[in-house]
Formats: sequence, structure tokens, C-alpha cells
Amino acid sequence: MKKMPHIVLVEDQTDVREGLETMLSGSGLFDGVSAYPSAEQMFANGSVDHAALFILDIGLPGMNGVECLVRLKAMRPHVKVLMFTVMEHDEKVFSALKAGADGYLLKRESPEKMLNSVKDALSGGAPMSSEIARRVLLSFRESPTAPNNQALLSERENEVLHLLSKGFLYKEIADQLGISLNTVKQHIHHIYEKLQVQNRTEAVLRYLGK
Amino acid sequence: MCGLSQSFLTNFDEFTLTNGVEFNIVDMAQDDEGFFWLATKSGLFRFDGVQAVKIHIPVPDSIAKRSENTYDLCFDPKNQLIWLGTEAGIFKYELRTGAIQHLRSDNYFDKKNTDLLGSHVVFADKQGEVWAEFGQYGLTHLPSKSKAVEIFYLPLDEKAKAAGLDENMANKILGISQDPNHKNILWMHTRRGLMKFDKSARRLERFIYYPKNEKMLIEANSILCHFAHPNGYIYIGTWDAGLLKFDPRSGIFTQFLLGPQPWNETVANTHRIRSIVADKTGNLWINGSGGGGALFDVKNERFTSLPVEGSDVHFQDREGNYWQFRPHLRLFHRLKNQGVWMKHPDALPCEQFTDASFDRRNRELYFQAFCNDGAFWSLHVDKLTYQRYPLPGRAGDRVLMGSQAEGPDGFYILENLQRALYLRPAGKQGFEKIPITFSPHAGNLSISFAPNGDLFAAGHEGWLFWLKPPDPAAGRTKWETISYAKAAVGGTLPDDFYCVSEPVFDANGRLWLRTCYGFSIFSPADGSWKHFPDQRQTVLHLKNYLNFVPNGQRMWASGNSGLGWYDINRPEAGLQKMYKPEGVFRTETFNIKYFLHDKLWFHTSEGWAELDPETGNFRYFDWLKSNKMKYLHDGRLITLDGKGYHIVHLDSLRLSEESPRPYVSWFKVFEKDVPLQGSLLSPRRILLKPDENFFSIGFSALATYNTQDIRFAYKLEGVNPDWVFPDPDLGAASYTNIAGGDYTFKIKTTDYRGEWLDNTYEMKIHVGTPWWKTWWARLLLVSLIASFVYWLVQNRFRQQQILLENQRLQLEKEQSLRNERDRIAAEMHDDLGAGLSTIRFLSLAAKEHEPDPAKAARIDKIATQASQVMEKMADIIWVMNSRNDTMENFVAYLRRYAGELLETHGQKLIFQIPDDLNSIKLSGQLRRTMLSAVKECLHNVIKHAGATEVRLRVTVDQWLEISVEDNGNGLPDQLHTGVDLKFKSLTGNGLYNLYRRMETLGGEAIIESGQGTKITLRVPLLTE
Repeated sequence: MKKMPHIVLVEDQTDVREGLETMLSGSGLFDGVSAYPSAEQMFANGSVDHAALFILDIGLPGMNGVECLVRLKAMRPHVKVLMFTVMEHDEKVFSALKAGADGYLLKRESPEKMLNSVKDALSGGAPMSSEIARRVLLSFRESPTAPNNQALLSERENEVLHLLSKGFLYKEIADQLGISLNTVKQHIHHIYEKLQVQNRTEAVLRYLGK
Repeated sequence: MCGLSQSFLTNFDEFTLTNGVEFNIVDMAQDDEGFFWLATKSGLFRFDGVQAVKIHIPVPDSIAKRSENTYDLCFDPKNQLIWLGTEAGIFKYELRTGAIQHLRSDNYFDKKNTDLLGSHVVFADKQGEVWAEFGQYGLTHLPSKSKAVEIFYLPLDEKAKAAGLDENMANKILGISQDPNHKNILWMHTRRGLMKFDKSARRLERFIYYPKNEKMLIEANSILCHFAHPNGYIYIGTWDAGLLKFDPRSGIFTQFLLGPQPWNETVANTHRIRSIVADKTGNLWINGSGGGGALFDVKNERFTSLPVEGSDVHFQDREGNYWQFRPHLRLFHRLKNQGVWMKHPDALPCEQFTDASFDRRNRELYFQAFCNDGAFWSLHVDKLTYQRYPLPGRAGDRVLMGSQAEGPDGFYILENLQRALYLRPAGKQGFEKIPITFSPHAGNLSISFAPNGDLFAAGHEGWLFWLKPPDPAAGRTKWETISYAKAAVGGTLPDDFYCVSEPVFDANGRLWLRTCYGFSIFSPADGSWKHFPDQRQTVLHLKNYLNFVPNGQRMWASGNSGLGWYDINRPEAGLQKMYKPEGVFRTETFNIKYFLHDKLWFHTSEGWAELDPETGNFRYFDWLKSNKMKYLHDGRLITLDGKGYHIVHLDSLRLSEESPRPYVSWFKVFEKDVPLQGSLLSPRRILLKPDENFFSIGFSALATYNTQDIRFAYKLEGVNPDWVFPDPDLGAASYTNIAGGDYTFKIKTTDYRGEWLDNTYEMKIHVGTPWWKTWWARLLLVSLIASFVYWLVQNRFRQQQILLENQRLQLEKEQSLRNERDRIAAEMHDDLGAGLSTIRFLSLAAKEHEPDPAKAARIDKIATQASQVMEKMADIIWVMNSRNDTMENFVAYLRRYAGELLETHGQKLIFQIPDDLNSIKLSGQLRRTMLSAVKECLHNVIKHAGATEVRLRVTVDQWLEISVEDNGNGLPDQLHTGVDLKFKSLTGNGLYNLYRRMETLGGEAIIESGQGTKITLRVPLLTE
């Protein structure tokens, strides 16, 4: 039997934090949810080592969500992190994705959708809107480290990204490319990884070096 | 009076039309710089010794011809003027400016009182006062400024009236001079008598010569010339009464006649004197009757030569050169300051002059010549008188004066025909015979005294006689003779001992003799001989005609092609130093004669020359050709020829080599004369206008010595990089198109021997620069251009700055707008978002705990509403983000939204878009409006249509057209096609709002209903 994941939630708004915490705990899918009002408190008290997934409010006071993300990824590169946000096309969301976030959670979503997103993230999926896809494309095109082989997208990843940027749904992409939905998600995951490889240094410097 | 020669009269330079000199010269003057001014029948000329330049005299045409009739010329040293007396009046030429002023008598006098238009005489005295005969009889004083002239007229006295003289003629002034001793006294000669004017007393006096023959009164008082001599006398040249001397103290005239002809009424033109020129010695050159010249010895009061055709002297310049200007201008420059050539008296019974010897004791010069009266003849060099010395026992004999020598007791002369030796004992007036006989084979002998008083005679044929005079102390009562001869004639001397020269003693008392192939030295002290026949190597260049001149420890020797000296203590060492003259003198035979003023004088067939042994410099007197020249030991030399002699001052010879002084003689711009300002030799700068850049420069030199051989070189610095050596006949340089600037015109010349001299003349020439070429104009232009460029740049810069500023402001504005937008977005996101999130999560939580389904549904509505507001807010923020303004973004967003929405509701989306959307940009308003319109349509489809499939089509041309078509129920009938959407009541709020929204964008909404519904939204695209 697979061990249930522990989830850490950092959200400064008490009602929202409590609401989500309740929702997540109530789902019964997780091995406890630790909620903190700030990243500082999380780092001071939390068991960063054991959590499988972190949900970080993107607009935290003090250490903001992206900084927190960078720290976490520096400590545990493979841990999953979702950014908690009002809207997906927030500039900060893209920054977080570049810095290693595995996805985002929209605050306006229905509880079901939120849970699905968390589950998706835990299973290696990643959400990518057309805008983000377009910006990812742009990021790869403009990157000074583009010749880096590791950071180069494969042909299929490129196709996926292009379709995403045109507003196609995952499912439509899977149909159009003749691949499974999971493969699309895998591609997107790899795209994110490559994006992060490409942007990590910059992101780390931006958030840690200042 | 036959066959007058020669050296003097043939030694002249003649200047003719090739030199620019006119024939009919009337008068001549010399200014302070040395230029000559010639009054001719053709006008005024300036002459420098090389070229004459005509000075243009601007006179009215009506009297132009008369102006050429020139009478008189005068240099005014005080005012630096040349005065010219002509028939047209008086002309005043300013030397420093070239300005000419015309003075007409009719401007001064009433016409009816004007006897003559012109002036026959004008004279400026040393005080600068001008006196003339000017339109009136009598002396006219011309004040320098006013027109108020003074006229002095002296009526005849009773005696003159009685003698029948004409009063006007007696006031007809023909010449004026200033007394050299009294500055207030002027002398003037008239047609009838001499006049004196006292400047301070303003009084005239007349002096008439009344000759014994009353019929000759007119001839004696018609005066042609006069000369106020520094000795106090006035010398007067008369029409036919010869020379008169007037003594102002006694008022007595003394008459001197030129020739042997008696002065009487029957002989015409015999005693006419046209001009009197005094030389530097005070003697007078008389231009006598018949156009001949004669010299009057003022001291001895006699003519020392008689007038001879062609020997007129008309002028003596400052250098002492004599000039003759009739018929041609001739310069007798080679015997300046000297007396005339003096002819021996016809009565002198001598001939074939070969040489002469100077007796210093008696200051007499004995002629070496044949004399037919048994006597020696001499010339006293001071008295210039001839002396006859009859030889005892030779009366009527033909005698030949030979070698002569000054002995301790008197002057010895060898008579060559009898080889008899004569002595003129010191202090005696006659000669006595010395009882010596020489071998008849000895040939011509030369005698010379040894320092000890012994006499030596050398014979050309190879003999030497040593003659010891009687010396009672030595036990000699008579002359003793020791003879030496070459072996061939029985002597002991070498066979080549002939061609013997005059014996010469050195400072050691040894005798030097030339031989045919060398020389020999005889030592009288021990009777020894040294022969140098083998000295050819050392005397090679001197061989033949070797001459010796002793000088201290040196024995100078000369021969062919050079001269040099031996050390008398070691003659075997050969010539110690050798000198070679230059030029035409180089290949001459050098006949050294004596030392004068430490310089060695020698004679060649080219003339005389002197060598300065210290410097090795030669000085040549090529015109001094007489080979019979003796030094008179008083600074004078005498040259002799067969008929007469000259006496020459040694110092005056040196004057003759003054360097030519080059100068610019005229300056023309476009062939028009430009007056030269300042003195000719050091002129002021020539200033030319910018367009006067075409000019010619005439050049010449002030020179009076062999001027025909002077060569010129010139250059215009800044134009000619090197000297230009023009054709000798071309005395001008021309320049064209000379750029503005300062130039220096330089001239240099050679001397008459062709040696270039360091006598460079400079004239500054300024050619104006056109104003647009001047430095200031260029500066101005450059400044203007610079200012303009600066202005342009400034302007451009300012504009750019303004532009940049505008852009910056615009950017700032945009940025602040963006910032504002971002701030709003952030605040919406953070505050509204947080609030809505809280509402949503609180309501979700409340719903969870609400058992009442009705209340739970209401709470859920709150949650849903919150969620929808959040979504709309997200849309607004999306739209506000300028990054999302492309059609592609819009379409992708639409597609994703529609896809997710329809997928949630299990309906299929068919999304159709054109291939290329990229380039189209959409405004925020359009995107937001269209997005919400499409969303509304989709929600309507989900809510009401009951469709399974939605077709969403985007087309783009001039319009953006989005159609949403479903396969559902279609609209209710009242909302069917054709119903005017404007009727709100019929359409309901939703569709009406859809229409209104499109209308705000200038678009429309078209609703079609049948099998499903199709709503087409169209808005025009603003293409930029």
C-alpha cells in the first residue's frame, strides 16, 4: 500500500488557509496537512523533510512564495510545490514555474478541481495554460543558454508547447498528436524541468542573491 | 697740333639709345643718391649709369611740344627736388614721390607782361630757395608756397648805356650759381654782363667787361657760362673773348685766350667758351670753341692743353668722373679726379719714349728717349715744366737716355749710344760725365746701386760690371771696374748667363740677376756666384722675363702665369709662395714693379694690378694700361706715352671699383606706371590692390664702372624659388596673377668681371587680398559655418532632446500608466482576490456545515458568485495586461476557455480559426468586450440550447468576426431572425446588451436561429 503524502500549506489569510486545510484534510487523501501563515514560520517549525507537497501562497508577506519555493527546491530538489494564486496569468506564477514550481492552484476553483490539481501534481502532472505555454516558448527562444542541449526541447515537447500556446486542451493535444493524456502531461512536466534548468540560476540569484 | 691721343680720350663709356639715352642732352645733375638727371630736348631722364628712364611730364597738350624745349636742370638738395626749366615753364619733380608740378609763368604774371612763357634757367640754392628767369627779364624769386613772386631787375648804369648795351639783354639771365664762400651771394651771367645778387640786401649788381677794342664789347659780355670758384674768383666763358677771370674784390676782369690766334674782330668763334667744369683739383675744364675741350690750370693761370675736338667735358660727378653729353653721353670714368692728359710740347726734341726714371731728390722725371739736341730732358712732376740738360761735349748729338739709377751722390743716367755714364750730382742743375767705359759687346746695360754705393751694370748679352766709385778712404782715386762675362766670351760665368735683367739687390746686399733659363745670385761681399739654371722646377711658371722686386727677407719674382717670392736666405729652397691672378689676367706675363702701400704692383698687357700679399687679393686696373708708369712718391702715379702724360692719384684708382647698386627703376601695373615712393635705393613698400596682380618691374643698377658688363639676377620671394637670370638686355621682370600677400622683390648684380656680389636690393610688395580671401573673411566664414553647424547641431540636439524628453515623458506616462494598471491589477489581485477568496472559502465552509439544503444552495450561490467575480476579475487583469494584446493570444485564451467550459458540460467544441493571426493587435476594450460577449454566448448555449456541439469560428479580414453556433433548440419564436434587436422589449436584456456592446465598437451582432442558433459578432478592426 502506497504511503499517503503529507502536505504543507503556507497561506497568510487565516480563513482561506483554514478553508483549504479543511478541504484537503477532509478529502482523506493525505497524511495530514500542516498549515502555516508564513514561510518563516514554516521553516522554523515545519517538517520540511517529510512533506510530499507544498502549497505556497504566491503573495506571502515577508518571504514571498517564490522565495520560499527557491529555498525549498534548494533543500529538496524533487519535492512538489504548487503555487496558490487567484489567477493563473499572474506574472509571479510564471516566475515561480521558472523557479521550479510544479504547478499552481487557483483559489477560485471548485474544491473538486483543486483536489484534482493536487492529485495531478503528486502524480507528476503539471498545469499549463496557453499563456504560460507561449511564455515558455518565448523563454526557450530567447534564452542565451539555448544551445545547452539539456535545455533544448524535443520535437514532441515543442509540438505540445505550441498546441498549448494556441489554447488546445491536454486532451485535444493528445488526440491531435495521437498520444495518451499522460504522455502529454509527461511532456509538459519535462518542459517545466527544462524551463527550470534554464532559469534556475537566474531565479536562484534573483531570490537568494539579493 | 697733330694726332692727339689716346689713353684718356679713348677711355670712355658711351651711352646711346640702347641705354635709353637721348642725343640732345642739355644739362645734367646728380642727386644725393647718385642718380643722374638729364635734361634733353625730349624731356627729363633719370640715368643710373646703365639705363636711362624717361620721366613722364604731364603737361597740357597745347604746350606739350614746348615743354620738350628744355633749357636747364637743377637738383634741389634741401627739398629733394629736380627743377626743370623749359619753354613751357618750370617743372618740379619730387624725388621721393615722383609727383610733378607744373609752374606756368602766366599763372604768376599778367599775360601782357609776360615776355616768355617758359623759363631758360632755374636754380635752387643750398637753402632751398628757388631762383629763375621766369617769363620776365630779371631775376625771379619763386617762394615755395605763395604765388607772390619777387622780380629783381637792374637798369643799366650810365657807362653801359653810353656803351650802347641793351637793358633787357643785360637782365636776360642765362645761368645762376651760388657763391661757394658766401651763402647769400648768387652769381648770374646774362646776355650782357655778369650780375651779383645779395640775398640779404635783396640787391643786384652788374659787372661789365670793357675790352680795349670797343668793337668787341658785345662778344666779351655775351656770357655763355660762369663758374664761381672756391678760390674767390668768378671764371666766365664768353661768346668770343675766351675765358675771363673776375675778381669780386677789385672788380677787375682778366682775359685768357684759348689759342694762339689773336683775339680780334676778324677771327670768329675762336675764343668761344661754352662751358666751364671744375675738377676736384680746382682746375677748369673749358669747353672751347669749335667744340673742343681744354684744361685751364687755375694755379698757373694757363691752359695746359689746347682744345681738341671731342674732348669736351660737361660735367663732373661726385665721384670725380667726367661726363660729356655732346654729341653723346660719354663717361670718362677711368681717370677721375685727375688732370687731363698732358701733351708734351711740340718743341720737345725727343722721340721714341721707352721709359722714364724718377729722380726723387729733384722731383724730376727723366725721359728714356732719343733726343736730338745733345741733351737729356725731364719733366718736373710738380711744376709740370720741362727741363733740358745739355750733356757736356755732346752738343748737337743725338743722345739716347738709357738706364738710370739714383746713387748716393746723385742721379746717374747711362747714355746708351756711347755707353757713357752721366751723373747729376745732388743739388746741381746739370750733368757731368763719369769716366767709365764698358765693353762694346755688352749690349744694352742696366745700372743699379748696391746698398754700399757700388754701381752694378748688367748687360743683356751676358755681362756684369762691378763699378766701385772713387773712395779716398779706401785708396781709390778713380772708378774701378770688375767685369764678368760668360765663358763663351772669355769669362767665367755659365754660358746661359745672358738675357740678363736689371740688377736687383736683396736685403743681404746680394745681387739677383735673371738669366735665360733661371737666375743667378752674386754676392759682392765675397765675390761668389750662385747659379740657379736648374731651378726650372721651382721657377717653371716664372721663367722668361723674370723680374725681381725685393721686399724685406723676401725676393719677389714674377714671370709667365704667376708671381711669388723666395726666401733670400735660402733661395735654393725655391719659390715659397706662388700667386696667380684671375680672369683675363691669368694668362698674362707678370711684370712686377714695386711695392706701393705694402701692395705689389705689377703690369700686364691687360693693364696694371696690385696684389695684397697678406690676403692674396688682387685688384685690377684694366684701363690703366700704360707700361710706363712711375710712382711719384707723393700718392701720385704718372703714366707716359709717346706724346704726353697723365698724373694719377693712387687713391682715386681705388674709388673706381664701387659695387653696382641694384634697384627698381620702374614699376608698372597693367602697363601703367606706379610711382615709386621713397628713395629709389631704399623704396617704400609697394601697395597693390587685389586686382592689381599683373605687374612688371624694371630694374637696373646705379653704377659708373664698366656698366655694360653688369649682369642681373632677380627673384620675387614667394613666387620665384630661385634667382632668375634674365637675358642681359632684358631689364624687367613680369608677374601675373599674383595671389594676395606680402612679397619681396630682390635684385643682385655682378661686378663688371662677372662676379656675383653681395649687394642684394629688396623691395617689399604687398598685393591686397580680396576681402573674401582675407583671413578675417575666411575666419568670419568659418565662424558662420561653425555657428550654423553649431546651431543645427544644437537645434537638432534640442529637438532630439525634446523628442527624447517627449518620448521619455510618453514612456514615463505609459510606464506610470502601466504601473498604475499593474498597481490596480495587483490590488485587485491581492485585496479583492484575497477578499473574494475568503468569501469563497468561508461560504464553502458554511455550506459544508449547513444542513438546510435551501440555505446551503443559497450559500453555494455566494461561493459561486465569488468564484465568478474572481474569474471576471482575472479576465479584467488579463485584458489589462498589454502582453496579451495579440489576436493569437486572444484566440488561444478564447479557445482554452471555451474548451474547458464546454468540456465541463460535456459539449463538444469545434474551433475554427484562420492560419495566421499573429500580426493583428487588439485593443483592451475590444478584447474585453468580445471576450465577455463570447462568454455570454457560450453560457447561453450551455444554459438554454441543449446542444451537444458548439462551433466557434473566428475570421479576420477588415472585421473581426466570431460566430458561436450550436446544434441546439434554437431561439424561441419571438426572438427569431428578422426581429429587430433594437426593440428591447422583444429581445430581452441579454441579447440587447450583446448588441449594445458590439455597437460601442462600431460592430454588430447577428442572430440566426433555426436548427440551433448562430450568433455572429462583428467588429471592425482598426488597421494601423
